[in-house]
Parts: sequence; structure tokens; C-alpha cells
Amino acid sequence: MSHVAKVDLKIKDIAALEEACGQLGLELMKGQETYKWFGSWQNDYGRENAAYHHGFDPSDYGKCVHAIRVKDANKQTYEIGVCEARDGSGGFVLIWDFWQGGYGLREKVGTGCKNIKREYGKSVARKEVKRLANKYGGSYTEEVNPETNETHMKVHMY
Amino acid sequence: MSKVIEIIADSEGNIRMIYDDNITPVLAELGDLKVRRASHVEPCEDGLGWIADLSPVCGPSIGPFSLRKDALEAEVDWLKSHNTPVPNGMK
Repeated sequence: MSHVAKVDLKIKDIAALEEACGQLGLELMKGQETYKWFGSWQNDYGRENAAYHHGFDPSDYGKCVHAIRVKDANKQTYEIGVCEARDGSGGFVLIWDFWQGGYGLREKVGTGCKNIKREYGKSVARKEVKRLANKYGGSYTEEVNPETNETHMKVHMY
Repeated sequence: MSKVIEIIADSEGNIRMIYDDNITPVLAELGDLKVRRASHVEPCEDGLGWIADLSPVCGPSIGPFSLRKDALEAEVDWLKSHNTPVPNGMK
């Protein structure tokens, strides 16, 4: 079965994506031009986030610019394709097959790759906040609120 | 004068902050950026002070303050001390 979906995330900073992957026990495989999935399109998934609704022809499923894999995964575990967005924006999007949870992939990345989205967002935000701190001679702090599990990134400018 | 810019990332990957010209536009690169009003700083009816109305985030009206800048600072302090709540209709 194939349920190839596009993740609602636009990636413009590959270094930040690599950092996010590292936080989650994933590995960004730069230049890996295929990602592991069911292997053939079964025309069985057509919801709004289906990749073919976003400019990806099913014949191109499995092809990518970079790939993300689970570190030390078994041979069956699917991978995520990092593909050029087809909307002309110049960024990258994530494409993956979530059939059977990608055989262990979803446990790492969360439903809809929300864990990657979270860590990537934090990575980009952290970089920008630190840039501000350096520019204005301020200091940077980061802490997780244990009650909400939210990450608070702060730049203190004097 | 010191200034603290805070960015909060929740467990779903959503990021929120009080708008800041220095950083919010950069974060728009992450995806769908929404900017909404969190409060209204308005003059008192008698024209002798300023009120910060935080009803867009289900907050109180605070003040009056004799100076508008004090009302603006109090508004930001309230938002920060309440974990930067998301305005109505934005969730």
C-alpha cells in the first residue's frame, strides 16, 4: 500500500534540517536521490495532503534530492524524501509513505512528521535568535517548560 | 533599556511570539505566518489616560496609565507573563 503524503512544512535551511534530524535520532542523507517506500503507486490515497495534489507525479514517488532515514533502522523501515517544492518557492518539502507507519518511521517522526516540523522550527528560530543576540551583544537562553513541554528561546538585549 | 525577545515552540511544531520587526519576518520562512492583534491600547473616555484592552486574548483591561508608552509596556508584560496566549480565532 502507498499513502504518499506531503508534510505541511517548507524547508529552506538544510543545515537546520540536519540539526533537527540529529535531535530525533534521524540522519539526513545528503545527495541520496531515492527514499524507501512501498515501491509502487496503488492509487489508494487522495486526501488533501496526498503528494500528487502538490505537483508530485506518482511516477516520481521514491525520487528526492536528499533523504532522511532512521539511524540504525532495520531494512524494512521506510525513509523520507526531501524534494524540491513544486510551487516555485525554491524550498524543499518532505514526502513520505506512511503505510504501516513506515515500519517504524512514524514512531520517530510523529504523525504528519510533526516531530521534524517541531525540531526544524526550533532549529531555525534558535539560529535567528542567536544571530540577534550576537548582533546586539545580548545573551541567549533556552529552557523547556515541563508543564507544557514548550521550548522558550529568549534573547536578552541590553 | 533592556529588551527580551521570546520565541515559544510547542510540541506540535507551532511557533508563536509577540511580533518583532527583527525576527518575525524571518520566521515566516518556516511556513504559514499569521499575525493577529493581541490587544488594543486606547485613550480613556475622559482623555486623561490610556487603557490596555487584552480581550483579544481573553485577558483583562489594565490601566489607566498616564502615558501611552506605559500602557504599551504593561500590555507586553502581561502577554509575556501569561505565556504569550494566542488571540481568539487564530488557533
